[in-house]
Amino acid sequence: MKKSLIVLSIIALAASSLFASGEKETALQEGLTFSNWSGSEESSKEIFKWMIDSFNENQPSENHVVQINWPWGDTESQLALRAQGKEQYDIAQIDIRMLPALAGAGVLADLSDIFGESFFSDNFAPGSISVGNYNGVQYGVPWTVAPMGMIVNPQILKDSGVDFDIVTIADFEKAMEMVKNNHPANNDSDAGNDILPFAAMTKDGGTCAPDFIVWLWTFGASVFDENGNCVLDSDEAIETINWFKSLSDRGYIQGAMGRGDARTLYKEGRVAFYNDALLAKGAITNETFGSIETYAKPQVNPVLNEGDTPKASGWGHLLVIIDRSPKKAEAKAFIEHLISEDVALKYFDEIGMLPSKKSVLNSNEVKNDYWSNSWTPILDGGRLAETAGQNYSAYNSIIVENLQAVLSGSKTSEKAAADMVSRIENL
Amino acid sequence: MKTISKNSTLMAWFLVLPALLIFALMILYPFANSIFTSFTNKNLIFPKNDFVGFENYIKLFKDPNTLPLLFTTIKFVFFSTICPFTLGLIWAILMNEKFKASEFMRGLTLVNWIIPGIAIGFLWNWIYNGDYGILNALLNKMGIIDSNIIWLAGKQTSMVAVVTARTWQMFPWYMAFIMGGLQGVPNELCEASRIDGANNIQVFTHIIIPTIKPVLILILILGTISNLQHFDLINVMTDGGPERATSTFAIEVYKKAFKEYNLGRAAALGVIWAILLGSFSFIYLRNLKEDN
Repeated sequence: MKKSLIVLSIIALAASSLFASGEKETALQEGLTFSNWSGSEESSKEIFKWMIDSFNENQPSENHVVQINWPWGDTESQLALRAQGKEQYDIAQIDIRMLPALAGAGVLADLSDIFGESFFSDNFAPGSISVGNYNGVQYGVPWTVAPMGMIVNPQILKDSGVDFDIVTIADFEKAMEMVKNNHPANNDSDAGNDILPFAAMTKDGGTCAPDFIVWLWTFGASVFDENGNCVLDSDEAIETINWFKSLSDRGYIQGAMGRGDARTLYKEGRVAFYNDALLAKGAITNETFGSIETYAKPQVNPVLNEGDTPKASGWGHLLVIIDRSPKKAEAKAFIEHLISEDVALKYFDEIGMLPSKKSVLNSNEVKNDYWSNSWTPILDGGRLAETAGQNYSAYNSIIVENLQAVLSGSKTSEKAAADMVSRIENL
Repeated sequence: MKTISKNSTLMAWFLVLPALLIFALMILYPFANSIFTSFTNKNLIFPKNDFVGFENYIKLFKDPNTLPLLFTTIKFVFFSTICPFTLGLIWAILMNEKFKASEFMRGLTLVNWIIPGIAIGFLWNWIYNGDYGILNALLNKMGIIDSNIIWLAGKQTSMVAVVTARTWQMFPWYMAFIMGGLQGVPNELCEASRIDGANNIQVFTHIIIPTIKPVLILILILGTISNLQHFDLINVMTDGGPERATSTFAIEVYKKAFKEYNLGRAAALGVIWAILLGSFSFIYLRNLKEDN
């Protein structure tokens, strides 16, 4: 009996510790949280630390910013989960393609109420403002906004005898053919230094589908029509798929190519063309090749017919405030700090992230920079991928699986297109 | 007598109660919750959670990818069990011969098993990379190929790649178990059979295999269960691609839940997966009971 009582008491103590907690509701924590992915990446963690420290120096401790990092791919789900979990979150860095899902889920605050309407029109170009707007509500402050472009290696083109501008699809195909057949590295016995004409994305849905959608637009096709019906089986869409398959058949592109793989190969001087955002500068810089102008030239995507408007995938980062944040005024101050001239120019200087604020964009430092100048012609015309939204990952997976089936020969373009439509409509 | 027996029973209950509580909280409750979630349209991003009956299961059965998913899982599990098992058996027999460096070799072999699965995935990714992988470099140097093969872009080659990586990771585990079984084979039996004229193959098939059969069955069942649950190698190397050629239940449930945010559909797939796993666990437990 005595032994039973002792054991019972120990178990009761242990069990009670499981249920012991502080106050019923989560206490308001000191400071603000700034969640992001860039602050953990090797190329940008130092500048992020500086941006936060420089803000905190001039703030009382209760308004100090603390950063929380997670990988880019987890941002959307983490923000949504934590918003549901009632943790205090204040400011976040998000990718523009995450905006529809997060705004639709009610996670984000209306920034017009916090910053005032005129703040946006006074400080940003209409194109930049629009990427932070969803269904007429301004949720995001544009931090860096620039469409994806085509990065071209002028040295490889020169060594292959390409001496014309790449304007149309026909020019693009001709240039790829010349790289494939004429470049000296492709004519020796060592397959380990072969030059890939075009490192097109073919590996995963997150990169392949948005890039392929740009080619759909180039050929006059789209994923959805104005009524929201999937039209991936249109004649223009099938023509695009056939064209993409022909690039593979001719050896201009290859399978299992992700953005990271393309950047690595480009940095080694083994790719002539690939698509990327302006932040690629940090990933492809290779000082052994000399100045970046000699091996990396951003340009617009080729068009189907001369005179067409080049198409591009929208890309960028937004700063958002979480709707449940009890410190919206303080969050506003931090965002204003991040986009201020000194901070934005240092961010630009360190890793090439183009500022969005008009006054900073017009500064001499930005205008005189080769990389940002090369990107200026690309700045207009970026569109968010049509698959952005709640079903982003599912739509992209459907597109990339069927594209891979066409490239491997498992399906014809017509069958793949029909399957894409069927699966998207049945989601 | 009765009081002593009652006290002993009470004591037993007190002692198992913490473990039962943990089991209930960590296993029973999440499992029951998953079954319930499989009948809802719960989403990770949007706060919706309506009861939809069997809609998730119906959509899964109507999905043309569900049957191929089952076949791919069976294909991966079969080859990822048989290949390391066979290699482990051969290696165990070799290591059991007690030559000069056999203990060192045994220890070295176990290193494969200690390395985390994610690291092994990245390692094999590098080996199989089409443009700068060492496999292509080696084959090119030997004159076997004159242009790079993109191993992870082909449906068959990508499955071979993940099975090879899994075999490399797991054959030490099989080897360790089989060696334990081989230690229990009486030398006198083998010697006696050799005196009677049996050759090595006859000794192996008529003496050694029957003696270590319980160990072999055990590790085959446990290996199958482990491969049915396996996630990290495939996720790192191919993420289920290309064209779902390496997509198993583990990958698909993860994608449905954390990429597509469709918790209801993921839970339904998880229930089917649990039934598959449960059947092998049932075989294992029945085998254990028969041994006892």
